[in-house]
Amino acid sequence: MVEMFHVSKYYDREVPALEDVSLKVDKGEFIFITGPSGAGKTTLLKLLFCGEKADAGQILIAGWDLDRLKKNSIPYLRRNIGIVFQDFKLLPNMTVLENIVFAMRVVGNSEKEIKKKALNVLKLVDLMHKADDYPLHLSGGEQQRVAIGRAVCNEPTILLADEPTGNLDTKSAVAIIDIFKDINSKGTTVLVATHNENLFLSSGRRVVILDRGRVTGEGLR
Amino acid sequence: MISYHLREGLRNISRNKLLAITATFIISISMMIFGIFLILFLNLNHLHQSWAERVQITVYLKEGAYESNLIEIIGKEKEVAEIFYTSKEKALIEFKKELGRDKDILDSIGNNPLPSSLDIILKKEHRTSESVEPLVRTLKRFQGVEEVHYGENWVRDLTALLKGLKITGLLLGSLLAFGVAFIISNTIKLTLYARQEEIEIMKLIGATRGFIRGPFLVEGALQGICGGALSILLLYGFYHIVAYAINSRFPGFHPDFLAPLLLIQICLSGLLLGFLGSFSSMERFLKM
Repeated sequence: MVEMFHVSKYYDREVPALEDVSLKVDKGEFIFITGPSGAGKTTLLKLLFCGEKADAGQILIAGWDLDRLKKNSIPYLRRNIGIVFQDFKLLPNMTVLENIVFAMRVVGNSEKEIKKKALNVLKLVDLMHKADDYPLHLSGGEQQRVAIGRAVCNEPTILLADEPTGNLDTKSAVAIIDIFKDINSKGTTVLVATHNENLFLSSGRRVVILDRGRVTGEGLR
Repeated sequence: MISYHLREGLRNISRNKLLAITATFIISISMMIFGIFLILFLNLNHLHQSWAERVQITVYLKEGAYESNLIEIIGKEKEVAEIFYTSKEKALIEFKKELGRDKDILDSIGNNPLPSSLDIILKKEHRTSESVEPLVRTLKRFQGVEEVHYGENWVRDLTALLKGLKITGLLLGSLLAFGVAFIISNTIKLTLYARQEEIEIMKLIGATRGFIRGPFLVEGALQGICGGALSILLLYGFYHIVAYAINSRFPGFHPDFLAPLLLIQICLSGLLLGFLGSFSSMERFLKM
């Protein structure tokens, strides 16, 4: 599903953000990418959703070769990728339901489809009772669940999450990981970047360790 | 999809009402200035045309000139349609008629001082200063011709003025068009900055550029067409005030307002400029 071959990214010639990273993630896999701050976790995810372009190497994702991808095809690639951020990136002037509906409308779903799917998404992230609330009236955990709902509402094949529990307490963090597991069990490939070891210890999932832009370790935890 | 763009475009406007109203008003003023210019140009052009249609050349003959020879020679010129001869005697009778009660003044002079003359009517396609002037030069060279009159200063001045106005109009029009596009582009830019976060999220969830652009293009086009329509209302008010002032000074002269087709064109150019202004703003923003 995701293949990276000798990928490098430099914001600054002296200090590479990523250097010679090779990584393969199979379809339906759930992996964690970990490392200290500045290790290159966010850069790696950004390269996958074309938020940045690699300076060297090749990236294949869901059948797309990112090096050959034209600018106007990026939106279509992103429809295959759900993205969850640490700061949620919700629209504060829209309700929970509207945030999700907005994401479905943007990719051209019909109103009928939207109505049907939106309720299922709300059930998935357990926010049926908060459908008409505005994000600023929700707790951090609830906001992140809305963000996950928005990321998966268009049924992407891959879900990328960048420090999804960074702003959350332990209980909310566990709930978020449970939702990811649920989404993964339905066939979606999940990549979670986190510096929080508690999330993956004894998870039985593959963990890739990054340090100063390089892969320094990999294994099951 | 179109209804989405329209709805969102209208929502953008209602979110930033004051900004939209100010921009629309400035656009309407810019377009009104151009409209005033257009009214002035069209009326002068109309005046020029109506004068040109009535243009005739009067050739005054020397004492003893052979009018029949001259009529024959002049009749061969390609510009000439008809020639009417007025003898000395007929000129005197007509002049006396014009003088009315004062006609006795002429009796005291004794001899008839008036020359005989030829009034030359030109063919329609030659009723322009470009055709008249060379013909007048030719006529002046004929034997027996004393003087040639055709209201030359008027024609020359009006033609030069119209040429000047055409060039000024083009410059002013392009400048104002650029101004309108610039105003709209900046208004849209402010809306874009206010909605930067939303656009960023749209990009991340796979919205195409067209989808992101749509509401902003609608917003620009709406502001443009509203500015155009408002400029027409303002122009109409302005026209009424000026037409009234002109009429009270020169009764019988009614300046024309712009034709309906031109009014539609003003609105449509507002729409187009709004669209283009918004488009250029979006392009720069989406590249960022």
